[in-house]
This record gives sequence, C-alpha cells and structure tokens, in this order.
Amino acid sequence: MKRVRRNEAMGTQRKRLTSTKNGDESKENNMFSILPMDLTVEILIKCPTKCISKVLFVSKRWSSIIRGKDFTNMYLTRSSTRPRLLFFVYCIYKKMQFLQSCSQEDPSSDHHRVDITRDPNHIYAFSPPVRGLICRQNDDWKS
Amino acid sequence: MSSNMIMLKSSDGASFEIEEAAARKSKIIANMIEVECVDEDKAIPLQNVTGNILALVIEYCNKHIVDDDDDVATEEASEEEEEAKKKKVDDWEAEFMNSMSLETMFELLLAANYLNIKSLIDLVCQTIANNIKDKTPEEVRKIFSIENDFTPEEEEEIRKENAWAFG
Repeated sequence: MKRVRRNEAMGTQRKRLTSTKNGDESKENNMFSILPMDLTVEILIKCPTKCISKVLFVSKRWSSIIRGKDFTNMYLTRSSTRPRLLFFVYCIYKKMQFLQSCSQEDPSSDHHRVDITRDPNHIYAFSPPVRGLICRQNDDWKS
Repeated sequence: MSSNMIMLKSSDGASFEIEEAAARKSKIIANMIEVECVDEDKAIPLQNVTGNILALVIEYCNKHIVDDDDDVATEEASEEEEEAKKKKVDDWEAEFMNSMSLETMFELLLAANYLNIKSLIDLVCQTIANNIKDKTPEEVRKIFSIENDFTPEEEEEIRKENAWAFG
C-alpha cells in the first residue's frame, strides 16, 4: 500500500479533535451519541449477561434498549448459538454442592460457579433447563 | 489474484492507493467495482471518513486480505497450523485495537459501518464491549462521558428490580 499524504491527514484530524474538546466539554461528549442505534445495540449485545444487568442503569437510553423486547430476543438467539456446559457437583461426605457453568470454547477462563446452600431439613430438586434457565424447587416437608 | 490498484479519497482530501482485493473487504466498494462505476484514474471519494481513520481501515483490510488468500491456498493445512494462524490474527487484532484511543475506536466503528466491513464492525464492537464488562455503571458513564439522566429515585427502583444481579 502506498500511503499518500497520511501525515497531513493525521495533522488535521488531531486539530479537529482538540478543538471539539475545548469547545463545549460539558455538553455533548458522550461517545455513544455519534453512533446510530443499531451500533449501540451491537456493542451491548456482546456484553456478558451479568454485565448487561449492571449497565442497565447507565442511562435511560441504555435502559430502554436493554429492556426492549427486540434486544432480549436478539440476546437469547445469540447466546443459544454458544451453548455452555453445566455441572452439578455434589459431595455426600462434605457439605459441598455447587453448580459450575463454563463455555465450550474456553472452559479454563470463561466459567462461573454458584454455591448452593444445603439445608438438611429440606429436599429439593432441579427442573430441566428451559431456554438456559433451571429452577430449584424446595420441598419443606419436615417443617 | 489480480493486483489492480484502487484510489480512495478521504473527506479531508487524503488519497490512498489500495489493492482491489483489500478494498473488496468493504461491501460498498466491492459493489461499486461490480457495477463498474470505478474509474481507474479517479479516486473513490469517501465523504464520511477522515484520512487518519481511513488509514486504519486500510491497514485492517490489507492485513486480512492476506489471511483470506492463505485460506484458499492451503486448504489442507493441519489443525495446528490453522490454530497458529488464528492466534496470529487474534494477536494482531488485539494490538491493532490497543494502539488507538476510545474516541478513535468510535470513529473507526462509524467508518466500518459506512463502508460495510462486517468483520471490522464485529471487532470494534467486541473491543468496546470488553471495555464495558467488569465495570460499574458509574465507571462506564465516566469512561464514555455518558450523563446519568436518572433521578436517584428512579435509579433506586431499577436497582431493586435487579438486585439478584448484584449478589
């Protein structure tokens, strides 16, 4: 590739950026404001679930995007193309139980563990997964 | 592979010469070539892309056109080689994205969107998403200069609804 006049172009750009910074700092520096809606959606859809539930209250705009039905559907469609493994780890002698989920592509770094509190007074069961959600049912038959 | 060269002209008047194969990474330029509205002597004007951003786009296209050629040439490459090659591209992409500021990233995203380069859109979006994850809402607002337009009551309300996510 031959870069013609690249340096000059960079010079102009730098000038332009500084001038907007000095201009109205307080008003509209929101980086997302230059993006069309679909690109903001494209970025948010790539965030992990736990992150999505947190950035919900960054701003009203983000909140309305994330809570929208379209976004939920797109997110679900995307995540169902990347199935994860879920292990239920149960040790009868130690009072230790947990659920471990990990991605199939990168199990060593992309994983998540949820400890389960065990109460000997209760028996419980897990429902089969429905669209990635499982339900733990308690039965407090002794109390 | 043809080595036709194409001229691109940025909004601020900078001209770039690029291989046709690399330029075809952009669907919009590929279409222009298909319908033969590209004059060999004239540069294609790109009114929404400044010179420094166009330089980045071209750097990306040049890098990836080589990879695509390799795919065709060595179809019987072993799995290990494939993996090594993928890692090389990933490393290059990581360094490429690392070399620019967030502001530049957003401008690059707009340019990739305008030129319709899907893989570059994905790369930039993923990099921005990586900047968001593991951050608190306050940190996200600060990094991207987003104004918090919730009243404290409204914010509290949403926090309550989503308390499960903060456990």
